[in-house]
Amino acid sequence: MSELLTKNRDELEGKISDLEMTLHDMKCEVHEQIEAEQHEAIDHLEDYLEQADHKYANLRELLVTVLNEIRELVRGESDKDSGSLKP
Amino acid sequence: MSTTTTTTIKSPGKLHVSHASTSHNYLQWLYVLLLVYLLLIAVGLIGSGFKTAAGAQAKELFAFASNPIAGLVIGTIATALIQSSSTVTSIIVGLVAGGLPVSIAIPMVMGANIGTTITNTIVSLGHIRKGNEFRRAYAAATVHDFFNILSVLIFLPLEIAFGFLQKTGEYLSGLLLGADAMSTSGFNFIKPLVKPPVKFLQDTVLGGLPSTAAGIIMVILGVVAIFVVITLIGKLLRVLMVGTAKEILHRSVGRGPVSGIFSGTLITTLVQSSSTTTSLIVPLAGTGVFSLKQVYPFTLGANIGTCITALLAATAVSGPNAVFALQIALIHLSYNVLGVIVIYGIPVLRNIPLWAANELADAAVRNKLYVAAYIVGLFFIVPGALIGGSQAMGW
Repeated sequence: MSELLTKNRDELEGKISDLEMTLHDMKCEVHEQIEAEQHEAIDHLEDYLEQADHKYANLRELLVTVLNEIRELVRGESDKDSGSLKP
Repeated sequence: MSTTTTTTIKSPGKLHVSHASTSHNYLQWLYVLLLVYLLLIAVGLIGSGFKTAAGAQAKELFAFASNPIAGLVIGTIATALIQSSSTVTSIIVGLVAGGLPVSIAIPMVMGANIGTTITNTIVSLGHIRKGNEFRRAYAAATVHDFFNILSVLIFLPLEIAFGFLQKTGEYLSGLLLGADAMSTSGFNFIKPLVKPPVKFLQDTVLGGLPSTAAGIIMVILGVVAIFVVITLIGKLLRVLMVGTAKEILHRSVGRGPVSGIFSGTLITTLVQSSSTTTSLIVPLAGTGVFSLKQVYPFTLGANIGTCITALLAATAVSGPNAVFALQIALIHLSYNVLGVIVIYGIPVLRNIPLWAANELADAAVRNKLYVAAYIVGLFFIVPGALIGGSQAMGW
């Protein structure tokens, strides 16, 4: 009986060890994939440099977005007010 | 045989193209050197112009900025408007050469650190319609802001209380120059090149004008020239150095934060613009390929690398104020290096900018009004309120 228990425990420990190794390998693989993606992104550095030249366009974009949000906020408030006047 | 013939026919064309691009590069590097020379002349113009216009009253002229909060605000707003800390710090070096006290210039330099962060914040707005991509980009941009603000919150009170940055600048400039100031200076080969054009402009071109008018014109010319030259240098070096910048970034992938700091420093030194480096970081972070924790050290490296321009500007200064010009440039460097060592070195402090950037980015994704309020508030309203408050308190 005790031999059976010991055998079970050994098997379990073996499986745990295998799982840990597999997990370690998978983590290494993910790490390698992330680094490969980073190298790929760096290779497109010129594209990102170009983005840095669109500052005025970005500010206009912000202005448009902010004005839209203000309109929605005001519309939301006025809907609430008109809603509160209903019997 | 036919392959060899084909190769022979093709290769002269390739050689021609290769020679053309190499000589084009040489020309561009010559252009950069010329622009650097013009930068040094521009700094010399500001120094000489200010001395000519203000004479012995230089300190009185800047009495309004003797309040360190005013100095900080001036540095912040000027840099936010010009969008170049290199330009503002070079102008500050020129003003110190003209008689601006170093103690007044120190908060201005700290303010320039904050003001320059507006550029990468604006770059992040390019992702504003892209949900999570915007959150990542905006966090990568504002982590720089929060780091520089924290640096000011720690070091400005210490500087006001103990003057330790000024003392550090004095010590380092003493080490570099020795007791016998300029005559043993290694910068002697630059000053003889820079002085003649400045003297020519001052004595010949503007010689007929009253000294105050001539001085003011020289200062204005110098400021405009610095702005134009640094912009052109930045654009040229971006093109020339993009390949080297890529290599540096490739080598830093998978390495730790110290490598990130060195890479950020090196790239910024090569392109002569912290705005370029930090603006590159933003889209890299926006894609999600680089995490905020990974881009953070690059940003800090940019803070250090940008100090080279002020050091370069200081080499143009001659006369009794040259040592002070070098001091403020060294103070700029010391402040940024200390900021990285202290704030990044202490885990609790290191995480504050990360936490603040993430919180703000989360809020910004929910409502873009936070973005507008942040930009206008941090770079214009808060500085204005600080000035008003300090004046009201009689500082």
